[in-house]
Amino acid sequence: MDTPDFKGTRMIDRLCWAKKNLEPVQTDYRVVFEDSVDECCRILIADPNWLSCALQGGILPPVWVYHELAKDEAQPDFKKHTRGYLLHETQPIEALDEKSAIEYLIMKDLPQSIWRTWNEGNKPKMVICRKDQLPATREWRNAWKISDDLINKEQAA
Amino acid sequence: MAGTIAADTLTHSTAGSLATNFVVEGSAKGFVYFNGGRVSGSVSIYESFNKSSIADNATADYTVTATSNMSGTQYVVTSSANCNTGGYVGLRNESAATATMTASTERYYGGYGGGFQELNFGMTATFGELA
Repeated sequence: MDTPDFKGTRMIDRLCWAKKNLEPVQTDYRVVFEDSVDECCRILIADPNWLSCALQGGILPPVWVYHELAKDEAQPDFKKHTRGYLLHETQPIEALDEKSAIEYLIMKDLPQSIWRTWNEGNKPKMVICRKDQLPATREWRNAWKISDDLINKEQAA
Repeated sequence: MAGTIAADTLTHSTAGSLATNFVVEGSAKGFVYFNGGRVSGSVSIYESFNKSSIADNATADYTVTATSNMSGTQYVVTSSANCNTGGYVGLRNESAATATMTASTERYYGGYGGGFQELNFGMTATFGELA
């Protein structure tokens, strides 16, 4: 099914169209990341309806739009967004494959401090894996960490 | 757009009138029904609207992110959950007065009997103004 020309259409209306016309897509990919050395790792899971939009193309805005909105929200005097039009007026991105969609999601939903420098520490701050590579039960969930076996090769050398 | 009706008021023959901005502003702007991982071992989203991801932060600790941001941080969420024979899901707060909400994220915890508990499932809906 072709995506209508959504440039200039409010994002929520595009999502209504997607909800009606696209099948949700569950992914096996998981993004494991550590926001703080003192905390357990977190796991990011893509929303199936969002993933169908990413795979379809012509619906989601470029990821820089979210970064601009986040910049506005980080201002100390932020009350309300005044540049929401960026979501609706910016040319939507083309269809992504599943791997590229997960990379987009990382840049959208993870703190930039993690994905911009994910491999600059003693070990990666972020790992993309498959669901079946995670522990099968929630035992000791608050102690889960990215394995030390994944020490960055550059650092190890 | 095809199929569009532009009207400020809807009027019923006997029941009265309703301003259409009441419909627009009062409708949920997003929802999520998620698997909290208590039984299956892993967190996932069953059903949703206007969400891009869920993060499994720790035991009974979840962050949901929107695709279309809210206009600010002053909006409303409502939630329900099950983690055993009961349970609840609520907004996690950083301080007594501040809930952990941004214009695009809502952070929730699962609870039962006064403590954090992994959820079987959680459900939330978001109301307010979109960006």
